[in-house]
Amino acid sequence: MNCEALFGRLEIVDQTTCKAWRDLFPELIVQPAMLLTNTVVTCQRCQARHSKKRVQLPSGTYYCPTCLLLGRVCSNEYLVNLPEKNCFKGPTELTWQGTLTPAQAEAAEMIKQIFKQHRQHLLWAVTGAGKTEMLFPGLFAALKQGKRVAIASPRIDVCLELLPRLQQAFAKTEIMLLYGDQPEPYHYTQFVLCTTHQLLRFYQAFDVLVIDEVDAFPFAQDQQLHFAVGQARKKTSACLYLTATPGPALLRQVSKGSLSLSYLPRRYHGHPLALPHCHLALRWYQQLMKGQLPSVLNHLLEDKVQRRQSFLLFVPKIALLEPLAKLLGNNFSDLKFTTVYAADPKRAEKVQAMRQEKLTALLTTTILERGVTFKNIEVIVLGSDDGVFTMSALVQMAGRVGRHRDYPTGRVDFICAGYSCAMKQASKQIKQINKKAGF
Amino acid sequence: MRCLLCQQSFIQSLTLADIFYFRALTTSPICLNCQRKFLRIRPNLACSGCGRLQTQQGLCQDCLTWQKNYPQLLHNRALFSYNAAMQDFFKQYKTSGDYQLSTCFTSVLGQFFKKVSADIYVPVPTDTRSYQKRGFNPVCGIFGAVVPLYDCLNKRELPVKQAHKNRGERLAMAQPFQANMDKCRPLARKQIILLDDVYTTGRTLFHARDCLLKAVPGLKITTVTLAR
Repeated sequence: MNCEALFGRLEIVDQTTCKAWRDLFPELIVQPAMLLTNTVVTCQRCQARHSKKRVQLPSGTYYCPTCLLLGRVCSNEYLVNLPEKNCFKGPTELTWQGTLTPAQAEAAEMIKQIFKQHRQHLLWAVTGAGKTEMLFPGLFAALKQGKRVAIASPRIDVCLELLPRLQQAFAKTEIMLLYGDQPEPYHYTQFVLCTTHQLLRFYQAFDVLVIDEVDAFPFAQDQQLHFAVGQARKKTSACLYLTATPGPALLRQVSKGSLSLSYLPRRYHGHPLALPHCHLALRWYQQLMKGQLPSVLNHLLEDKVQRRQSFLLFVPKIALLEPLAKLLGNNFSDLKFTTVYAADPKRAEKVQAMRQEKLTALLTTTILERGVTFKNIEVIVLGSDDGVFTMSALVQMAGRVGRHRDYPTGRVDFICAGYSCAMKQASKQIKQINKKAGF
Repeated sequence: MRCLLCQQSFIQSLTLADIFYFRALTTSPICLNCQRKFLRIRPNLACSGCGRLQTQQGLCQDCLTWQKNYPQLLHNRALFSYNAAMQDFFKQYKTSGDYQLSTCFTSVLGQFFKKVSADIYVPVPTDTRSYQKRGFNPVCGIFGAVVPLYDCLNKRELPVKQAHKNRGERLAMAQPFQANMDKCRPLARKQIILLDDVYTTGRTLFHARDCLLKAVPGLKITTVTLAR
């Protein structure tokens, strides 16, 4: 067993291996994998509690079904790790060529200070502000000081999109990407990029931890993942939360004073965010099911087709994609489009085709709400009053528009059967941010 | 309720009969969407030897090959086709070791064993090392809640797991089972059903049947598997 692979990394071992490792590494930190009480077992990795009856195996031990995908934790096993030693070799170099706008540079300097002073901070930056680039100077400084750094996001798409950009910026540093289906086995690196679930496998490992898109599902709703963040950080470490749409829980932490906050209300090209236009279509769902295109949607689509404008059409349910695609195919025969959803096997290819402008439109669910950038795009949200479209989802979807320097404006349209609270809040937040940016 | 397979919450739909009849409620822990992904094999469209789904009646190609060595075929009945959904299920259940999933097919199997019954049900065993690693026997987990099981076989440890072999290697496997003679004695002249989770090549089940027949000659044995 290589001792490096245990630095700050939790491994599940049985009793005999545990003993052998303890002889090998006297510093080994050992804790039982599960805590047993009369009726309940608590998993020491993810803190999930289960009734004993439900999770007992015929052999008599208990297991944790909650974090099963990270490898099964059993009550007769142990969680072991070695304290993080920060033994990193090799040069660090910032190979990024771009430049920051003055506002970005100011934020970047602040991030550098946060990393240095081991603070907890929330950076509220609008969609398309250039968040990733602003991290580079701070990350570079931290890496140079021999600190261990991790960037985590709840979304695998975000991680996959970040990896090439980070690799380009830090060409001499090896970056380990960790996610559920990663075929490559774990090895010790200074820079880790992972999904937030993977943080459960670390114990006091990181000096600098950046959580991107904190408000995204499932991080915002999941207590287990908040616990994971606390476990993966060293006791004195910096933690930076990045988001364009902070939820009430984060803002509450800010008002309590446990988290500092800064805004970046202006996009890097200096244009305001697009305000959504709301259209009422009371019976859009019934019309769609009957095989009619709601007239509001029809007008919007005609307009876009005429202008040869590419666009994203969001729907609240996967089941709506098929009937809508059929209707669009009939009514707009020369429109090149396709549908994409979470479990779509060709998901990555379709998004890539859209990026390369081989397609004019994508019909999709909330999966494309964040982390993806298309050059020249407009957005329609059908059924924006549906429960799945939360305030942050709506702001994010609207934020897909106007991200490129050459196409800084565009239309955002919400079609709804009623005005929901989330829609109201989303419009309010976009207006608020624009006002803060001085528009 | 939350579906054990896709983690989505779903509503258990009750029929009027469920409400008014005085009987135990059989609820499924997986949602309708996931249930639909499993392909049920109807007996009239199954191979009479191994129970696989096919378009014509009679024996399939594999069973005709088996017949050259074993004139007496298995007459296996399988409930589901071993499709992608079933593979995912077994990956989570056996490889990851999610024992909760053993209840997924309890109600379907309950209905099945009302029609197909025997005196004694014998599960195919696992070797001690797998049992210790996994903490359960996957076959007993699936069938244990439905029918009373009778353990009378032992399995010796294999250097390479069945799942990691290719078809040729699997077929060449030597007899891995041993019958527990004391326990086999009361089986004489009983109708027996051998139970397994998946029928892949048939090698395992043929071995298990041979082993039982050698211990108690003249037994009437058929087999049932969850998937084929």
